[in-house]
Amino acid sequence: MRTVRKLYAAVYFFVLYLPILLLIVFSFNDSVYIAFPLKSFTLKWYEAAIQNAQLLSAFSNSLIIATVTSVTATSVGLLGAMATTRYHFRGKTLASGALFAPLALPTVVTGVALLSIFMMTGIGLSIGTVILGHVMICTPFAYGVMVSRFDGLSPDYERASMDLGEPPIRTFLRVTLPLAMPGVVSSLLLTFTISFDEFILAFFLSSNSPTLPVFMWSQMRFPDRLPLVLALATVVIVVSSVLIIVSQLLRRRRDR
Amino acid sequence: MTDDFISLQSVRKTYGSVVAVDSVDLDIAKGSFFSLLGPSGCGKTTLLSMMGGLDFPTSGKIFIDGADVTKTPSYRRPANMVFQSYAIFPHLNVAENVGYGLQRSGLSKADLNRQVEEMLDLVHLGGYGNRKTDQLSGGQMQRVALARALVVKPKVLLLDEPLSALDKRLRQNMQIELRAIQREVGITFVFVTHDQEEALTLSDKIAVMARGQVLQCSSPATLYDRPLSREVAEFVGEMNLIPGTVRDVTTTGVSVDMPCFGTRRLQAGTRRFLVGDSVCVAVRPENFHLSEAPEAASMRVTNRAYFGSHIHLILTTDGVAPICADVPAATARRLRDIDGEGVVSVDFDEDTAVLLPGKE
Amino acid sequence: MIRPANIPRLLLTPAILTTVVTLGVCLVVLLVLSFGRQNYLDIELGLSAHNFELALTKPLILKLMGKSALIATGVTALSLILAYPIAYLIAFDIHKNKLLWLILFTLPCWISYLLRILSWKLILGYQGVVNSSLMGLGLVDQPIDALLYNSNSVVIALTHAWAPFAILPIYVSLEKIDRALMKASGDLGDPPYRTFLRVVLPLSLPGVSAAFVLIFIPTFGDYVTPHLLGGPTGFMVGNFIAMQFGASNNWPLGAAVALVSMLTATLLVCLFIAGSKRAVRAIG
Repeated sequence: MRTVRKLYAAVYFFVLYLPILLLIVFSFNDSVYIAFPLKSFTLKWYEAAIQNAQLLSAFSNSLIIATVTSVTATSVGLLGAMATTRYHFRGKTLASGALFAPLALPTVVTGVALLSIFMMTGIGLSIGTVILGHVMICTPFAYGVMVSRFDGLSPDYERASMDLGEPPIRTFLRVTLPLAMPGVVSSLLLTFTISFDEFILAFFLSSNSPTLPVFMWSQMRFPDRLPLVLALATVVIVVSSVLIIVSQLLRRRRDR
Repeated sequence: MTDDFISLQSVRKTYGSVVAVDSVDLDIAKGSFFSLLGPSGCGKTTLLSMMGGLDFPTSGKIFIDGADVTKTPSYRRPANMVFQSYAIFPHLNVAENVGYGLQRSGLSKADLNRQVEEMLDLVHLGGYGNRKTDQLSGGQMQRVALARALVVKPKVLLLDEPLSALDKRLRQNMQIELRAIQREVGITFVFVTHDQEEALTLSDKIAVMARGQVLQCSSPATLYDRPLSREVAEFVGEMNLIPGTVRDVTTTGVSVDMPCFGTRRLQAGTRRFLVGDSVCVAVRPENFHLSEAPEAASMRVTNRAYFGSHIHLILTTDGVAPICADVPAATARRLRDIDGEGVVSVDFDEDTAVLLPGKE
Repeated sequence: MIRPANIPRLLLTPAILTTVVTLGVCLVVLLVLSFGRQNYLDIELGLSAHNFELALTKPLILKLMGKSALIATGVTALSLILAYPIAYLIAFDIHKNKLLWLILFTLPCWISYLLRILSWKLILGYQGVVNSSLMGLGLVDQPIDALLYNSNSVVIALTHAWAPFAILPIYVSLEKIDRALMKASGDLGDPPYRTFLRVVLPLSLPGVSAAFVLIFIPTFGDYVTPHLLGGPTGFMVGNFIAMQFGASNNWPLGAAVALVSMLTATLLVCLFIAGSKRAVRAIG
């Protein structure tokens, strides 16, 4: 039975990564047609990508959005997790469950709703509106990561610090933050990747400052630009994978 | 040991509808080793946290060295805590842990290091400063926690079951050491424990707690010899509670009719008893004597356990709950009937027995 | 002076603002919008139930809603079935480098959803990997166009994209099961498959339910996959909603359909979870 499971897992693993692998392989293929047999190896799609001004601007938009989103969501999640793991108060269970509510809504619905808010209040679409949407869907993830970090940390460390004469803010800086650091880094990496790769909200909220996924979407319609998209996709996939692996390793690391 | 150094006045703490500490009044003398003893959930740790400012009373007042600290947060209190979990900062080494509370004292780096070294010497961890904390044993963690709390020179040291995680041998050594350190630094220690033996060994004074209340606060000897209630009698050491009825009350004592032991005259202590009251006569196992004299109560030996210095017996007779008696091994040897399931005569000295109310 | 009792509320406020409050405003705006009426480029707010009437009676919308429910159910069921053995394997069979394997099996969850769907377009396309390979091998004379632009391709791509999401919650609940319970069941004479049905499956149900929510809701409202792979027959309710806010320019109707489909999805999730609990109890 165990052998059957392992065999199944091997097949699953192969099928899981096959499409992604093909995507990467074709980004090095010297042909605009995505078809076998492969032609010769080339880096020209990558060169074309680097020289594409629209792409570079989309890339910088994404970078700004993901950076601001990850820092904001992680800070917000860190404070929230401190509240629910370090204190007892009425409505705590309800509050910690409610923070996950944005995940219970299809992204399309969230997207059109936010779009409606901005239109009705006259707030113009910009990088800022995308950040707002991304912070909303990233906060639950940041909060989740920070809660699992804090759950493994005895509140006695902070109590001991206060007891030794350090007021709350200095205790936060000298004890809470250093101890929560693996969680903070994990959350930063995770939320950065989610924001950087997110498409639907960015599609509705970015208007004339497209993010990288929105730019790629716009290029997919043109068959001759597909290889360029693939080159870009390869870079995104490789970088995302590294960030996520580091994030997950940090998140689940057991301390002593 | 005259002035009251720490004073708790009607301190009460509730969490929602749960009463954790219920109107506690306590006075702790300067420089003494004071223990809060009680089963888990009796409110002793909450009381300690409130002395340390890690928790605040719902009502009542707390004074340390004459100052009202009821609402003072822990970082402004002259009281420091040794946590049950030790709470040794895992991101700092031993010296950094010990020096943690000194960082804002304005000491020069050299002075700070010297104080840390001195304190490490005091707890026998000289030269351990650069160790990482994950290389320390439980006993060493304990010492680091102690050094870290003492280095900031508190007026009171609060210890929350600091020895409970150590094995028995180590615990006994640490008890002796803890007492020695307390004498050396001369600071008032308030010690929380559920281990009555530990409390009796270490303390100048013990407060026994249950259900958020202090049942009795007295010296270890008084606590053991003159418990004020059945609950204290049963919690501290082993105690036989033999039921009886008051026959006569005079200024010199109380006569009690007891099954099996006849009518005995006992000291009433501070309690008042009336004729006809049902009472309890509390006798420690070691206060029974066994003999072959026929005039005393006859009981059957139903169980015996050898403890080297003494023998622990379970004695039964009709109409009375079984009685535990500790007999010195030398005496036991003289009584041949203790071998096997024989019948022996049992008696106790009236002045070692304590008269307690029958039902509380 | 900040009262100590208010500290946790203060700490929690930013998180509540970015999630619950934003979400609440979203829903309120959708609700307000849905009672209004589109007048060319302007939206007239009002109290007309017209859009809800349309959302609940118009055959096209009902059909799309039904299809979304069907596809989401199929994808979720397939995902759970495909992911369960993997979660089981990591929880019970793998002892070395558990964490690494867990990460490797779930890594694609976090990588750009858009790109993962795009990769299926390359594979299933008219001149895609499958067709070009089949033709290259001489198995078919011309490309099979049935591979792309229908519901099947949507189900395949969605299942591939979402199955890894199911592994994590199922794994977590399997990992929590006391190994002694399984031994006890075996010891009491249950063969392995009975132990699985009577001990492991019921105890892993919280994980399965969590996975269900995690997959069903987003697939029900998905927009990217049907757009890229669905073609005319793979169109789903998410596309309809997006269209009302785009080309069709009927925001109030879009808002009403968004609310109705959201409620439908939530209701279905609750029904499925209640049903599965009952089914498992019946087995035990």
